[in-house]
Amino acid sequence: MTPSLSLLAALVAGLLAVERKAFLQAMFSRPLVAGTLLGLALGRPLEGLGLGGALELFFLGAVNIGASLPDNDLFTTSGAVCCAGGLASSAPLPVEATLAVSLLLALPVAKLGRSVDRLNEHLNGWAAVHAQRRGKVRARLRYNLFGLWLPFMATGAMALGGWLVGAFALPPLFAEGPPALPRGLAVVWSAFLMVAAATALRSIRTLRAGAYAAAAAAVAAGAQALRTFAF
Amino acid sequence: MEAGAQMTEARSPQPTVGGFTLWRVFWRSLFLQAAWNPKGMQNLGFAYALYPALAELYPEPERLQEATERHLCCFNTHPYAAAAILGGAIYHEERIARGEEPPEAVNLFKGSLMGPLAALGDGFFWFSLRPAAGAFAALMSLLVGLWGPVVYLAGYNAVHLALRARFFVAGHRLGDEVVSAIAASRLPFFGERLRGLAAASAGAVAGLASLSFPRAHGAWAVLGAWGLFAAAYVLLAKGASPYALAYGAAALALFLGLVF
Repeated sequence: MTPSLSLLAALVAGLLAVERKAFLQAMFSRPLVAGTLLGLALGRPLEGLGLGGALELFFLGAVNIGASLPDNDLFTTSGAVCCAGGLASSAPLPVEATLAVSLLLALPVAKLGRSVDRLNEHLNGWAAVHAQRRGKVRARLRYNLFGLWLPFMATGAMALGGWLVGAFALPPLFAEGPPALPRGLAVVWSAFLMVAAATALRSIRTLRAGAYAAAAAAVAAGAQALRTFAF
Repeated sequence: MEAGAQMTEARSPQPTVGGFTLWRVFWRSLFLQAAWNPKGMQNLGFAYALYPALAELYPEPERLQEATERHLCCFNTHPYAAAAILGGAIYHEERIARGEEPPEAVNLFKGSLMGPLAALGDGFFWFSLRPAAGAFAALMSLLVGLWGPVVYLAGYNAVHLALRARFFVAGHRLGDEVVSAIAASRLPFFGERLRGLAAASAGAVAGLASLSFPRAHGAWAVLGAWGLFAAAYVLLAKGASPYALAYGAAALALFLGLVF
């Protein structure tokens, strides 16, 4: 993978960050869609889709209501997908191991992204006060677009950072680690999917969520097992 | 105020906002939260969106300044439902420009609707439509791969954009009566069904993911997966952090994966 693809991914991540709150909010920035788009930009769509799907479930209940801010799911998605893209191109590992290690590294940066969002709100407050001092009303209203910049820059930087970690910092660690490590990380990936599904179910606010989920889980597992073992 | 109204009537007996300007306001409303800040919240975004309509209704600089100022007070609601208030604000500004009501009427309208519409929008869009679309698309991505995100965007935005546009048009046409138009769309009823779909989709993902554990360990791996899912659900219900659970499960899985 060339560095130019990582720059393209950083640009995509920045644009998705603008869409996340400041413009449109048509869910392009949700982990499933963002992960796939970033994966496509890096030439690794399936890694992006896998990470995006798992993170979509993990952050299903993350909602911005009023002044409360959720953890920044796009920060984690950008970091994880770009890390996986960089790692996949630099070290021959099973896909599940690549996804698991990228995810484990990028999960906590959602908290950092939340701090960036809070900082952006305070900068917007400063811009609003500054705008009040401007005489012409049209010039004052232009300050509305001031808030687009920090999310764009910070998320783009996160994507680039994730790619650098995946491409340069992780491959030597895997080369020196125990040979069974990729196999163990593959189990970690499956375990994370179960935790993400439980987190998603817990975030859904309906009385019969457990009953719906249990019925659907039994049907899906039964149908898949039948397809795998009978045919 | 009366002098201003007479001036407007002298210029145009029926000042209204044209179709192209309405499109511009709707487009600019998509930037409603660009400058969200703790003090005024969406105030700057609301005034930014409304500005083309105000500029058309008030060609005199002083009146335009005055009209814009009254929309820079604190404002916050659900970003999609804000379209109804924005449409209603244009309706009221047209009446104010014609001298049919006092300037305070528009802020009374905004103040009375922003709370209820925030609750309605959060309940339907954030707690129902988005989880349903997200969980269903995650399930679809396991079954149909890259079509999963396409399903997400198409399903979500078919509802989101249609309702956003409908709210805006209804607000502009009906003014205060927009409340009854929104009530007629039965969003809480559909929201409950969507939450059921979200729960079923999350369960189906768990069902499929339980079979993704390495097959070398046979039925024990599937049973372990279900045990993990149940334990995670119970611990989350007791207030455990999802992050702590994720890392705890990862450590356990890594240990088991390396040992067995």
